[in-house]
Amino acid sequence: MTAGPAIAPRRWFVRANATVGAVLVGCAVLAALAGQVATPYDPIALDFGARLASPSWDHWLGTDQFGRDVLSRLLSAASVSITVSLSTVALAMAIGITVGAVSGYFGGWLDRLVMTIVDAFMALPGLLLALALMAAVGQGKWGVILALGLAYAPSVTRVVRGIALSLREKEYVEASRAMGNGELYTIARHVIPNCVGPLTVLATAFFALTILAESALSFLGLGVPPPYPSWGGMLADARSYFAFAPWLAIFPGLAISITLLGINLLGDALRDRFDPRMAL
Amino acid sequence: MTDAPPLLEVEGLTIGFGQRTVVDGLSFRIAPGEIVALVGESGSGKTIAARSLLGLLPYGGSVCGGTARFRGEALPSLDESRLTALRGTAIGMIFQEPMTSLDPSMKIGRQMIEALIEHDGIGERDALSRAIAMLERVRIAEPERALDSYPHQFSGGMRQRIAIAAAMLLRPALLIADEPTTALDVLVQKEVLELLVDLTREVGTGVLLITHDLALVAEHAHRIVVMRHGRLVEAGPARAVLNGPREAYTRSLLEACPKRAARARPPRRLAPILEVDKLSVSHAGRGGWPGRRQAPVRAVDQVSLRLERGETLAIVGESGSGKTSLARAILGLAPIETGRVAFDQIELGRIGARHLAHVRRRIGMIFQDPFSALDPRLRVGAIIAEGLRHERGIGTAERTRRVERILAEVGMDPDFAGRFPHQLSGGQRQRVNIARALIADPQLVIADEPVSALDVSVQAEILHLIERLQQTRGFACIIVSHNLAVVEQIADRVAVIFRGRILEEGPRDLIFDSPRHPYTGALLRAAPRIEGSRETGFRLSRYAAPVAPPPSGYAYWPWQAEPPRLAAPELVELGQGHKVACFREEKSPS
Repeated sequence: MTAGPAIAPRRWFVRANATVGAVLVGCAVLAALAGQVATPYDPIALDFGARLASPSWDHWLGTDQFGRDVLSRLLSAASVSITVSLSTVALAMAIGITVGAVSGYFGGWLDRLVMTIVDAFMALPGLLLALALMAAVGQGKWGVILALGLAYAPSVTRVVRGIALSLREKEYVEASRAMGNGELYTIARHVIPNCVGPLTVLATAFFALTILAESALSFLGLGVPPPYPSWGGMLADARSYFAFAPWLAIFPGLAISITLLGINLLGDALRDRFDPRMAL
Repeated sequence: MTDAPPLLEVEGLTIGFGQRTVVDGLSFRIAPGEIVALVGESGSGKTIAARSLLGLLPYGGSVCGGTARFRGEALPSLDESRLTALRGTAIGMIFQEPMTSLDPSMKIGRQMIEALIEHDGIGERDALSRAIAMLERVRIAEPERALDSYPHQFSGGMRQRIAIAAAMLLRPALLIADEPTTALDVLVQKEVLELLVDLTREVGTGVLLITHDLALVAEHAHRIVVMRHGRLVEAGPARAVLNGPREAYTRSLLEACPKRAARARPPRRLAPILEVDKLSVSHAGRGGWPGRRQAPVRAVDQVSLRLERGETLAIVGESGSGKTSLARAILGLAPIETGRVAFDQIELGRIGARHLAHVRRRIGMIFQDPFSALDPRLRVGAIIAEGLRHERGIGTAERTRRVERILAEVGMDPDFAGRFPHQLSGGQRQRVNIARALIADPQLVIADEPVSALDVSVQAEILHLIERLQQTRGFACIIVSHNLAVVEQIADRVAVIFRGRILEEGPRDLIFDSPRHPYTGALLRAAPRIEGSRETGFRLSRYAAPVAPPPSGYAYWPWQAEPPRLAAPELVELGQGHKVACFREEKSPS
């Protein structure tokens, strides 16, 4: 193709981004797995003798106000936080893509009805909506996933619907109908795959939002129930001690940031990888 | 004219984008009042070259060499403030797309006088009265009201006339017109171009006309500059270049212009492949609330057609005439309001969705825009094979074999199957488009403006391809087009459609040589064409066929005026299948 020498540095940069993203996400996943197998200490065991100990050889990342080992809690929380955010985004995407593509593609009264409902949902703050939903679906890990997934689905629906609306006018969609293909086949084959680019961006943004929202819910006592740790919950707990035990906030914060950075980089790389127009 | 000191003198102009040179050593000159046409296919660098004169290069482009002197002043070396003073007053510009070149949020008056006040330093009232005079000159009705209107309230042709008025209001010494009429309908095209030529002659403005349309150039330009791949191919007086092109490329461009050729008579069988009887199609009106909706717009009105097997019918009309709606209704993509469409004696309105899908598989569709007709995420092989999805008992190997065979038939290598659409040129994409339409071996192919998005030389290739495939495969074909020259080359029969109604229909030669309806006559007269061959030399010709009076006892359906609520016109048979739309005189006192 037109890969002149001027493009080469950019190409290298994209590849490097993809590699860094994959390594960071890999680290997070490894941490989550390690947390399931073995941790240096029991993440929920209290040790009042070692309360708020700063990082040392015994406790690499220090201990919290109950003397629990921060490293062990971080590792053990990794699997919860990653499962929750992944499942939430997957749920929101699944609902949003299906409803949005069908609504945008068919248009008419169906579209108007769906969009009215979506607008009504979007008028409520996401977290408030999640709170209301959790009252209905229950608490705990799966409650968080369900509630946040449903709370974010309307935004995805709106984005997908907008794209589907414009794709409907594309000649290749019309060509598919002209060939005698069914409407659902046309949606699955030609509409949804062409929504992926913008959705990758949205999905990575939602990962970040979910981790933070989960922490907010944990803070309100609705998320992962104590004493089990989650990254967001740990961050929330650390607020009162930040002045004299900053490591309590810094390390969960770092874990969240690093995972998000990895997901962002990997998301962009995947989008480019699966878009043939960007083929390197 | 060549004796006068040149208005614009371009020498060795070289423009690069990064490492790529898009304009390479271009030289030409324009004398005051002279019209110079810069001709070339897409990617030839003609637009870039013209834009560089005004310092309007897109991001990343830079002038690497050469000089451009405007009245002796070197242009590329000018600083931004001097360029701003030159733009508009000394050098005006008109763009291709009248829909986007006027600011939609500003009233016409404000847009027109803005530059006038800025540059000439005259008062607002003087400026407005000059604007009104200029709008009158470009024949905008009620200019005072036009000044107080927004661009969306005007049609494309009117907007382009307003754009011309706005540019000429400043009486520039040089006008750069970039494909000024390409986006317009045939009749409007002629009008706008003649206006542009008249107006610039009055003011004594030199014109740099950028275009790909050779017939247009031949008619109006004094001199021609032919460009290819950023280089000058040939330059000279328009007539000389046309009559005796010296370069092979110029010759091939001229040869590529569609010309009439004898058509093999299609085999006639008893049952027609397609019968359309009094078909009407309406589009739902806009508006969100039920009851508040605008009245539906009738796009196709009582149209009847008949298509024999193996025959090519061209549906000719301007934009908004309903030609695309008609084609879509035949495929069952637009809802049939009243009337009957029968494909191979299967009536479309009466069958369920599953049978409709069956019928659609026997009709191939070729789309206009080769860029949006192919799903960008699928490989060419997958795109073509999709047409085989409904055929039972085809294995992967058989599928691949058939895809390769059809690729060969449209003149492409089998390894194109593994490529993505964005890796192909416009012509290659259109071949893929054709391959997809033909792979299921349809009996009818509907082609909606199949070549209007392509360059002249590619256009000729694609037209020949369609003709050849039709001979080997024997499908019937409906070509929807606004381009009379294309229609003349490829059609057996022609139907002229206007405001959803067929005004005239008949064998190609009769329509082109002895049109009966005044609308057909006007369309033909508006379309200049290139005739001749390599041996005889090329020349410009116009259809000059006189339009005969209507058959006795009938009057023509009045197309120029807003049609009164007449009874639907009847198609009166004139012999040899030639029909013209008239209404009986006694029915309307006129």
